[in-house]
Amino acid sequence: MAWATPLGDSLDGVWQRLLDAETGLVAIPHKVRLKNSLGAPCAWPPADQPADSRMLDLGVATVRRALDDARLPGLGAAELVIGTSLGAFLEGEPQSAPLHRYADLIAAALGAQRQPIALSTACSSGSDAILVAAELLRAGAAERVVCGGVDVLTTTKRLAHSSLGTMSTTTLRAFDVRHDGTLLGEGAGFIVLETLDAAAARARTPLALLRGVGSANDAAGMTTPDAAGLGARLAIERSLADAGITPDDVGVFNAHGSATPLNDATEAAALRAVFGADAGTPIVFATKGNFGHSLGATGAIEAIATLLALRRGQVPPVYGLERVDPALRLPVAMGAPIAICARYGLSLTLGFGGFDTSLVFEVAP
Amino acid sequence: MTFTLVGRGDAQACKRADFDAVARIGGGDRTLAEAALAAIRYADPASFTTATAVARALAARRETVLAVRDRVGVIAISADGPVEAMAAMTQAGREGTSSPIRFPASNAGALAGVISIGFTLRGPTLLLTLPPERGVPVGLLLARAFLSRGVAEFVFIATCAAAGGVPASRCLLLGRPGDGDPLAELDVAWLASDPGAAATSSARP
Repeated sequence: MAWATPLGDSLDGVWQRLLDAETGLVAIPHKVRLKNSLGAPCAWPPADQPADSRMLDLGVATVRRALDDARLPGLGAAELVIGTSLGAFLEGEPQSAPLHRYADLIAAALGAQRQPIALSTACSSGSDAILVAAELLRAGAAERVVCGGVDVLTTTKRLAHSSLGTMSTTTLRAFDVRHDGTLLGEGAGFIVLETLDAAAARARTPLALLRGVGSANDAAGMTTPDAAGLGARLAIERSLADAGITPDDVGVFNAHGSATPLNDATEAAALRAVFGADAGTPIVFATKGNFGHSLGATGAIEAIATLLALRRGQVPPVYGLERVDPALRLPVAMGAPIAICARYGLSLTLGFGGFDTSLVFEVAP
Repeated sequence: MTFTLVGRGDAQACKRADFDAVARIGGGDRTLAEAALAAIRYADPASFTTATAVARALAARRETVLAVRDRVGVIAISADGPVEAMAAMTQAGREGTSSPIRFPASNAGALAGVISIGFTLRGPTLLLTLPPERGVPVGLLLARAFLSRGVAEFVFIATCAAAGGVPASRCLLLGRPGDGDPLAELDVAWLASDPGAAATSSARP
């Protein structure tokens, strides 16, 4: 697995910066009127490069590192499943190219033998790429899939969130009583999923097991989540059923945590419905205060953060969290990392259009 | 598990009024439908065209399908997306402005989201940003997975093409064994072909 984030691109280095509660949010010069100049850019590719070119470079480089991490020489016959919110398509000149062009170019740059699968489910894109990959493996349509998401910061998307009222005027503080909105970031995350037989055939021990996937739609509004959190609850419950485990088995929960009051309330309601109020587990954490909200990439990046939490036995503190919203009735990492001994971790994403996606991972024995 | 074909529909160049008219035929839970439609303040013609094709595919088994709304999946397939809203967002961005109404409509995933919101469907939902010939095989694989595990009892697979400025959509409503006729290769070929070509129901035998 590999990621590219505003805090760097090494797994160990970025993980330590998460434990240290660092943020990649910085003031970004802009010529348009925004409610907040903060955003979280990656150090590479250069900011003056066109958005579509930056997205390709981020995607290609991150997939390549994911393959290296999995000790694979290249994509070969593996499937490639990529999600994005298509921010780069909305920047600059209006585009007439098909929406899968970026995925085709990434696949071509990596010498893929198969045409890639491209999808877009707003902020659930990265998670849904992993969900689709799981179904390809389960159906026997592939034995190895590289899957994840990529998105870049664009002026158009920042303007959109500013005008929509979802952009914070202060900073991104998920589940804090002062939460007032999100701030955008960028990045990429890709993981190599393969069947146990395929891993065994090349004598590889898996980093973790993807045990269950689940998705649902809020069916509430184009940008407004269902206040009762029904869609999110259904997604979580479907992933737990798919994994064959109960809520009590989940030790760590990587929340979407976008820090808009509506999203945080929806997520808190779903968590109460699934895990009960005042349960001792799972430990909740969220990384958007560190990385910014990387939209179509965030689900894949957060899946990697969940895997690292399971493998390292630590949950990083939620950036900016000082006073927990009383609606969140589960323990949350605040101020300092929390040590855990968890077998299962769950990552949830929520996207405009009502998309809710939940992934259950098990730490490798 | 074998599929069954529960319904089929297509549409071309629809706007909200077209969708409203088709979606409300048969009624039954008018209040819910109107509340859901009110949640969609604005959508791209491609989204309304796709939703209209879905409404037509739903028509014959509307009550049965909507009785299990939480287990109805939506898989939209389009390499073009909501072209008009995306172009408007791009243009606005270049001018340093943004519309909070057009922005949600420019989300490519809205092609699927409008369907789920319009009919209050809470099954698995996603948009494959692929042309029909590439996306339909993947959509069928996903639909089979959702149906066989019981995550969904019905799944809509809808394609949409809008590159020429005239959105056109085709939709199949799939069910589990016993819910309809066996899915035929002819139906799959119809769905995987360009929805803009002779976009009328009579084009499919």
